[in-house]
Amino acid sequence: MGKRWIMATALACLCLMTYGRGWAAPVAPVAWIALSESEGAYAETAAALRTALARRQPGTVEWLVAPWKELESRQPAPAYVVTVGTAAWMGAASRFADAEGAPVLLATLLPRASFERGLAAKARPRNISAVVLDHPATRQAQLVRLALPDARVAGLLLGPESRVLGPAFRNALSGVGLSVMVEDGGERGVSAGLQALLESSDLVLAIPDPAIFNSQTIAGILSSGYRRRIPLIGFSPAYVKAGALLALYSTPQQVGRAAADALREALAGRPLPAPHAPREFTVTVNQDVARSLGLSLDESTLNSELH
Amino acid sequence: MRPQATSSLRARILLGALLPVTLVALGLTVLLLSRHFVDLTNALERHGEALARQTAAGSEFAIFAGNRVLLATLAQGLMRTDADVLGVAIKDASGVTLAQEGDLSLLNGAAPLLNSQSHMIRRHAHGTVIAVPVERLVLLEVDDFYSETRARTDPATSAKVLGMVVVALSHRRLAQQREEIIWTAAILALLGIGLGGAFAIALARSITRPLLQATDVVARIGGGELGARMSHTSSGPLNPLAVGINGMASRLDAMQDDLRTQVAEATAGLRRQKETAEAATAAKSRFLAAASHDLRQPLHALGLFVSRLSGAALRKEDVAVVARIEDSVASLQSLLEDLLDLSRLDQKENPPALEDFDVGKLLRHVCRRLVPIAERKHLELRLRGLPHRGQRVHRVRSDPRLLERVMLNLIGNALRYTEHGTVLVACRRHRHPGGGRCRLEVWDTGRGIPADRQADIFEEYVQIGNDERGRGKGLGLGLAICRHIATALGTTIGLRSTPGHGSVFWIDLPLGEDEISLNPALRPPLPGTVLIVSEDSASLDGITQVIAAWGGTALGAPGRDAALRLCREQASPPLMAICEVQLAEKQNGIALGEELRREFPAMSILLIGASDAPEIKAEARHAGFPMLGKPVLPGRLRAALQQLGTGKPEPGAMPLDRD
Repeated sequence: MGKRWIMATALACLCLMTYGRGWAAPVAPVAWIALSESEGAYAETAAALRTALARRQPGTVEWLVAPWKELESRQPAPAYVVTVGTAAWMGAASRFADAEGAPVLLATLLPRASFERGLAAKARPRNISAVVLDHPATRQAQLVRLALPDARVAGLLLGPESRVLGPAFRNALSGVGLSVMVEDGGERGVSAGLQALLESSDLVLAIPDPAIFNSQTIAGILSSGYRRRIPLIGFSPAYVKAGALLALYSTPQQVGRAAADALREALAGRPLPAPHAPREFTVTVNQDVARSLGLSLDESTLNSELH
Repeated sequence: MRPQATSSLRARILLGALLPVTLVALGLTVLLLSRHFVDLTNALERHGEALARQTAAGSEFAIFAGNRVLLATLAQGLMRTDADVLGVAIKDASGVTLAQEGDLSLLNGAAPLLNSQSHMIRRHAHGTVIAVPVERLVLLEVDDFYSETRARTDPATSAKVLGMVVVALSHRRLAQQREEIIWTAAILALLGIGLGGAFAIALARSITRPLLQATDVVARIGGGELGARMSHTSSGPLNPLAVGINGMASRLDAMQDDLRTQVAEATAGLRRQKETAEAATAAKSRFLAAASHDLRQPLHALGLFVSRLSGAALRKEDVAVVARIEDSVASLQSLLEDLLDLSRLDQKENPPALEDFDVGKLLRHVCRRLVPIAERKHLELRLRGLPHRGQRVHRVRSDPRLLERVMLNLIGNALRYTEHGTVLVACRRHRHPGGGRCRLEVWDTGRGIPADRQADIFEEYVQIGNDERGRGKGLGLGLAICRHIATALGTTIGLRSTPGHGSVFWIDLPLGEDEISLNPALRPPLPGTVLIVSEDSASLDGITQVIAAWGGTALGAPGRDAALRLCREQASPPLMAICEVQLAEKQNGIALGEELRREFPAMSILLIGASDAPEIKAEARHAGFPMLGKPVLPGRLRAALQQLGTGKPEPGAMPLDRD
């Protein structure tokens, strides 16, 4: 009797050992975080995402963080794929978007236009979404109103990619009491469009479009604006550094945290929220430009007042 | 020679001083000028480039903004600030001109320049075009993930070149500067060369002048002017040379004086000796002459008395004594005659009287005189070579009396010194340069004369084979007298002898005039053409024929004009002219002669005129023309022409009447 008792216990222990793990807790899903580049903002976003997720749900996910190139042909496909940046998104989209049993795709740290380009003709299943960098027009309009209460006319210099956003911004700006001048820099050329815009605007709100706002044009745009004492409102910290009056954007960390929130939904079995900008944002002011233009702006005030 | 030497020396020194200076000046000038030009051009281009760059920097924004007003302002500003700028154009990236000021005609044909969109400089004759691209200098990095511009920037807008700034510069100021600097350099170079030249000339002068003076002084010294000296004032650096030359000249002078003195002394001494000797000889001769002359009379008387004695009745034993006395007296007389002859010849009392005579006649005469002596010694005396009756006689030109003396001596000697055999007297003619000769020879079959005595034998008082000085054989003066006579006649006497076989004595005589004139083969030809000017046609013809006979060519002219015309017509004018003093129409032969001599300096002129007009003779002599007196003997004319032609008198000829 003592021998059989010991044998059963051992067998039970063995079973437990073998299968107990599986019984003890549910299995953690595999999630890839595909980076467009291994360094810089992309890594920060990934780190922030993991940190945020781990804080609320430790051990939930088995992470694999690597540049997309390394994950491109890796098997088996995970349950969740988070991309950071446009390049990773493009890669993941082409691999997973149409497949059966595709993982949940969350694109982060990219402009909405890039996200939509990646989707292209593909269907839009419920488990693909993005945390985009573009902030809503309303928020931007509110920022304009807060920063430049005396402005009456807002200028928009649109290009082939930002053209579609024209109406939304027009509405949003009209909503805060600004009349809108729109010039299409893609047709007329950036400088021509800009000159026309500067004739009658009190400010220029930059909407990202590589054809219009890039390293080649920005100097000219800023100089033109500066000569007429018309501020430029940019969309990234680089623009503020270059000479824009202020910019509204989200940092990689903020994007990461927003991505964690979205992923949590997916992990809980719920559908991903629609592509959205992060809840958190930052407003940066170039004090030198503000001083030159005779404006006094306080960053913290703007940050807190904007929502 | 001197001016050439001057200029050559001076030229050399000038060249030596100027050439390096000039070369260096020119070389430096050219080198520095060319460097300067290059620098000026570079400076202009750099300046233009700087302006263009400055404008490009300023127009970067304006081009981007399409702000033509701003660009125009920029362009105008550039034009205003710089006088070199001809024109400015600012273009955008596609080549459209956004702003233009000034004259850009230099841009015509410069399309590739502008399309290159890179920095370029194009040089033309009158200007330079500089194109500088307007680049985005300000580069703001705003391309990041917020707008994904890194991946997808439009190449068109990402081009770095926004446009071009083209500046046209004028070379006018450059050209002006160049001209200025060239002028300055040229003036400086010329000044430098001029200065160098002035120094060179001064140097040359300080050297050439003393050198030339030295040359001159040395030449004068060389020419005998030992008093020539160099002056010290103009010597300068060549002073030692001057001192040296002067010293040398002084020494030469002193030496020459010494030599002169010595020579004078020696000459004086010699002259004194000569005078003494001459005086002694003259005294001797005079003594001899006087003595001989004094002796003659008593000897003549003695001879007479002896002949009277021989004719008187004498005893038999006295006849032989008287015959001997007669012989002695005869030999005394002959000795005295010899002495007298010798002394007379010595004194040169009687110059030979030359005439043409028949030599055969003289020889016959002499032989007739000596035949008795030959018969007495049983010797044969023969004459040979004389012409037979009917043939032409041999005429020689000589003094017959003297020749008789010679022949007497020679034949007498031959008879005296030949014991047995024959004495042969021969006469034959032979050719001789300058005319024919007649050689008289005396052959004997005597003892002969050894070769070493043959020269002595003609000396006075030398006898061979008479060591005991037998009075019967004379004083040994005979051959000496013959030699004296031969010398006086201008001919030669000679001897050939073979000891043991015999001897031959010979004397050459010139042929007589007629002989020569009738035998042209013996005459040298008359050289060249002879002009004859005479108004008398008969005389003209006569002389012409005679000259033709002599082998010459005669040109006859009756007067002055014809004479001159004839002479001028000839290819070569005549070398001789015979001109009568009195010509037709009161023309003067002497004047014509002078005219001919002026026009044909090579012509010799002989005048013929009346010999009894002393004033004509004087005039001819004054003019320097020889004159023959009328009537003209052919022989004399021939001799005169020969003398004129060759300048040498014919042998034995009389000198012309030149006085």
